[in-house]
Amino acid sequence: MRTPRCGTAVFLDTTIQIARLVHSRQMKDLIAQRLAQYDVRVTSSVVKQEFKRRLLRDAAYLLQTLARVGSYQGVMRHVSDVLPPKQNRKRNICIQVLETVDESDTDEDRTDRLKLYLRSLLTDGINQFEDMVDSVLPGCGCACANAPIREVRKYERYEFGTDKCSRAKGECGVIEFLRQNEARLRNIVGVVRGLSPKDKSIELRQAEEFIESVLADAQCARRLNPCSLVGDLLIALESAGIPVFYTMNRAESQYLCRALGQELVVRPRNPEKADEE
Amino acid sequence: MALFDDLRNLWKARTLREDEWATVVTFLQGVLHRNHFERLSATQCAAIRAIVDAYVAGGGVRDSDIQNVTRMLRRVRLDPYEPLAVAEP
Repeated sequence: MRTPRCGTAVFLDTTIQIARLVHSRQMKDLIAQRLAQYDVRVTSSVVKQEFKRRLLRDAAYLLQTLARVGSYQGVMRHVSDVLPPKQNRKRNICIQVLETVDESDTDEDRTDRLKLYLRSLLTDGINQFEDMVDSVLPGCGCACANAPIREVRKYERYEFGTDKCSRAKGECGVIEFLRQNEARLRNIVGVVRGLSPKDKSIELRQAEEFIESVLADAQCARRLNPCSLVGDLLIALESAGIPVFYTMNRAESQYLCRALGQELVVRPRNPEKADEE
Repeated sequence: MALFDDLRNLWKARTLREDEWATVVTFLQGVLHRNHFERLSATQCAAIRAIVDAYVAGGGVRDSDIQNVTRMLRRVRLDPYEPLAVAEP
């Protein structure tokens, strides 16, 4: 393992933060080895919002399904029969969970363990998220990220607040944040416009349209629900100033990092492969 | 292993205690199942013992205690959520 480079910081995006909590031990170890090379690990408010929206909402869904069908086996049947393939994360959490806590476990044991793990993830997941880094940059001050997860009925009903900036009740600083980052937005849109159509993903096209809209009138930003529509773009802006961006998603990050002058490090989803720099 | 057996018996009696207590028990069972006992360091063993003393054998366990337990485990590089691992696609 390389020794930490003094004064170096790394930014962790949503894919990395989720992987650090619920991927395999091998994957977690690989990420830990990478992070040991830096002495400051940071993430941001929109990453927290995505962590809630992706991982913790899935956990709530599984917990509700468990309450409805009543057993671990029943949930497994539900996820394999009902969920479409694109819902793989929900499926995998459920299928993988708890098979190895105790070989003597019955279905009732597994059901109870699954309930406890998922509830704990819901009530403690944001604390875990924050504990895993040295700092959560306030960035655009995402109000959706800061809305707490409220347990309405234990194991059955959880409220996440909205994930639409236009409906957020708390203070959302996205308009001011975008104004402050106008020069960076121009750099990004310049890079994205120069891409060939095959390199321009749907997310990058949405980012391009969004930037054009806010450069014309920043006031429209909240109405466009940026933290759910163009999360990659906001996260990129929040990470600007951190020299290294660590992600499992190369598609958009390679162009955003190029526009912001950051070093990109990609963790492949296959744990047999080394990080790509 | 005595501790593992004790935890198994405590887990069987989980309905007698609050859910938060059962959460601590299942965290410890998961950690011990995934880590060879002989390979645990002295600090890891000390953390497990502290959790057993303070939370498993102690009084009522609350939600805020769960956060303390996960922090204590992570501090010594033990992962309370390891059994919840999502398979890589």
